[in-house]
Amino acid sequence: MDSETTYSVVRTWFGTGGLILLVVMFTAVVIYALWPSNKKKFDRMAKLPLEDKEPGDSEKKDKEPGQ
Amino acid sequence: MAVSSAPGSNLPGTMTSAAWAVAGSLIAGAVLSIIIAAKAADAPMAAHAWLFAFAFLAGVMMLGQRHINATQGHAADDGTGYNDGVVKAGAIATLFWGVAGFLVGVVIAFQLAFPVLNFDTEFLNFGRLRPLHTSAVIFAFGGNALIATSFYVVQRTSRARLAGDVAPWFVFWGYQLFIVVAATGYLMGVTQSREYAEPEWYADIWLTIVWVVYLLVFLGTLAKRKEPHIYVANWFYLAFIVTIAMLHIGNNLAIPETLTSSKSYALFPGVQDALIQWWYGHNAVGFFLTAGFLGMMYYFIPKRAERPVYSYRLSIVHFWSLIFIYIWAGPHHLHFTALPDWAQTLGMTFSIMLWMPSWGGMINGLMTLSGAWDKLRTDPVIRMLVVSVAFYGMSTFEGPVMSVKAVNSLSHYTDWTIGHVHSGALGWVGFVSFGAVYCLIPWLWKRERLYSLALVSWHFWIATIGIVLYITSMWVSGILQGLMWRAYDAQGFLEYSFAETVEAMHPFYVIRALGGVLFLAGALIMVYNCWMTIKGRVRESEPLPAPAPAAAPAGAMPQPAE
Repeated sequence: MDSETTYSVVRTWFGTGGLILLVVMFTAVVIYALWPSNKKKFDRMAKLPLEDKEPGDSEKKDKEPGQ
Repeated sequence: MAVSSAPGSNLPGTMTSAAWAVAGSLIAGAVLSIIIAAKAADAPMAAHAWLFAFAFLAGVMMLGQRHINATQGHAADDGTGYNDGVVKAGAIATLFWGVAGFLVGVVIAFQLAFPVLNFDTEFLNFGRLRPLHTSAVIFAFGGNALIATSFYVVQRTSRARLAGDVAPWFVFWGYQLFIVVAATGYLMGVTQSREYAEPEWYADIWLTIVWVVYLLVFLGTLAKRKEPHIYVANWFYLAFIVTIAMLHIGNNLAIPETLTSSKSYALFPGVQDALIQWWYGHNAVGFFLTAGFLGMMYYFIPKRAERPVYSYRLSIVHFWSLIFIYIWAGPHHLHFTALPDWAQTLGMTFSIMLWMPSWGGMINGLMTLSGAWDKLRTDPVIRMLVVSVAFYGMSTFEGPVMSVKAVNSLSHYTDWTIGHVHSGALGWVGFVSFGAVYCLIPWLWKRERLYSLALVSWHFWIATIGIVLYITSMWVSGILQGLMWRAYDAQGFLEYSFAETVEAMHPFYVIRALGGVLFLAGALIMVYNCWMTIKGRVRESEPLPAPAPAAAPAGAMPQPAE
């Protein structure tokens, strides 16, 4: 296999592989972000900076965030 | 208050086995430095070896002093609450290096307008001061802001004390040492001539050690977290730390002339070297100046506005798409060079794609104010944070435009690039850091409010006018420069000599320097305001609202001002 062929083989595989990999990973991220059962966690996380807690305070205390 | 992982019977602040190991390593490092100083092949290496030896011994003395203070019951902190000492030090270092870096920027801006200001000495010429300016503002000012805020944010959003006892302080002081070695090296002419990675091999090795400890402190804190989910700001900070480690090592692979020489040669030759440099260079923008500061945005804007993040889902998509795309954009710095055409096009394409995550993030930051837009009028700190996000949107719109080959053929190597960088650096990075520090100072020192909000307003407007002067003059200058360079006369000769294009830049260089003066003046106002806040003063003409429960009891958790 001469170098020109090697180059085009590698380029094709890496190009295609990269495309597939990035699309799959992006899709997985979007599915994770939109997954309905994650909504509760994300809503709580969105308010996390607003809380002033001591180190070690457990999560239990703020099941009902007072916003 | 829960005691998390207190090391058994030891008093907080006394020597632990880890602290002894650090002290031993520092002494070994000092001995090695003295040997290198004695055998140094050149004067800068000797100077730097002595600097390292001095710093290592100072470190040992600091550990000893800390131990003595702790055994006498004067420990700086009881080892149970959040570790804020190192964050306070970082906030002060941010202010100090900010003023230093802006000042050098103003000096070199005037040098470009009035070359006589090079003073005919090698130590102060533009070529040496320019990396001093860029490193001081990016790595010293920006880096300290990132380290300080990341240590603050990761503790609050994980509800865990910072991991490590000596380690966070090692990160802080080790990083300052790197800055001093880099800066003094530039003045002595030590450089490996890689943009934003000028420090030579020994400074690079030192930074690698400091950075790995930084990563371990951050990861150790996350590992102790009491929250099941890692808050999005920490994802951005973590991406910044990990990617900078990778970029720093990749781009600084070099072979020193000898182990006692301050000169090294890059491992890769030719265009491969150029590609690695701009893979590094653009991702320094993407992960140092963007991802890290987005972490700042995702904590300080919701906190200050007292509003939840507009869309947490968007922040997840924002994070991962930014991470996937940024890493490919570097080749746009090498348009029309020996780099293969496909690689240039790849860099351009990914730069255009960056519009989406960048603007997604900008929208998420701005919309976090929904329901609290009035704060834009009443709270100048929020104004600063929000305008920083607006500048982020503007410069991330301009960047992809400039990465398009047709535009780049006009803009590349001109002042337009400098203007673009500064709309991002002054507007986005500068303002978001100022906003974060204005938040942090009263929180950390447990003051109810800043010394003066009117002074924050003055800072905001003076600095904003400075930025506008800067970027508009550089647009005009850059486009003028680009058009003059490509102008041909009827016979096909170049219309202008290079010296004529330089002369045409003069008025714009003066305007730019004045813009820099305004930005520096704003920063000085900020230093005064923060200093008075730390001293516990409140400006007489702006009294606190002063209702009964206003005075916080000693030891209370810091409350956000307002």
